[in-house]
Amino acid sequence: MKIKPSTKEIYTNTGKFIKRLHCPIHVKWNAMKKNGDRSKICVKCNKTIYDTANLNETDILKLIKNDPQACLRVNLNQDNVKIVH
Amino acid sequence: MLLKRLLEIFGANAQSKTKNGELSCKECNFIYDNTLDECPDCKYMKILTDKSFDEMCDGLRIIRTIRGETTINAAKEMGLKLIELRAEVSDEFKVKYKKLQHRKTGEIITIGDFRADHGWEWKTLVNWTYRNPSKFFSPFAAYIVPKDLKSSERVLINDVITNHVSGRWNQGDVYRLSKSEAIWTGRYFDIDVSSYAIGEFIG
Repeated sequence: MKIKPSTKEIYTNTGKFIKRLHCPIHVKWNAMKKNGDRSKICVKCNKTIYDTANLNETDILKLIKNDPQACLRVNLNQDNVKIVH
Repeated sequence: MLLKRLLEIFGANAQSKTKNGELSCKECNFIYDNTLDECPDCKYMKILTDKSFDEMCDGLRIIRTIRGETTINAAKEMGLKLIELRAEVSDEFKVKYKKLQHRKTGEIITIGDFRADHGWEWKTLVNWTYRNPSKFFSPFAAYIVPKDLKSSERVLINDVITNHVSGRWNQGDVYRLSKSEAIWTGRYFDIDVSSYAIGEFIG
């Protein structure tokens, strides 16, 4: 998976657009409720936030296909993400 | 004179090379660094009349930033309300990049991650280089404040003038906050650094 930090857009390694990450609520990951190993629950909006560090590209694409509004978390230091400009 | 200048720059942004390898804009004769895609003077003049800035983004009003003496003077001539700030260069920021070209297709890409380095089918055009994102062509910059902007209104600034660290990465890059949400206090924009901080993205 690739991310453009300037636009917060994420792509597959082959360049297919996945999603632009945007959240107007600004809740920190550490402040969210635990929900198993792969996700957390936002304390303000109650939505599930999926941690992409524990998902592969196929899972992420499937997730966004089923629910384009699904929330994702990407950390620059996770192993499965590369930065592009 | 202003109208004439604005009409001139809507044509093709032609350029010619100077003896020093810099580019000279054929529209306004401004001489600029050859690493820039277009004449910055014309680019910011266009912002003055860009209607797309009136659109909302993520439910927030967009605040236009202009840079360079020519554009700031033109904005004053137009009677726009400005908050003028000095664009300082800070050595704290560094962002690395590498340019690669595909040997068969000729496609050129820019990467910013050591882990994204490609195989033999990509040749290096520019090896790993650090650039300072706080360096702009001019130290003069200003926000255009909409006259009906209410105190405590949250807005989106697409080109932040003041320097804020938006994130540090374990590969050595220190990112400058270029885009951010902010709150208009009535006198200045209070930048909400966390709104576009780099490091962790949720959304």
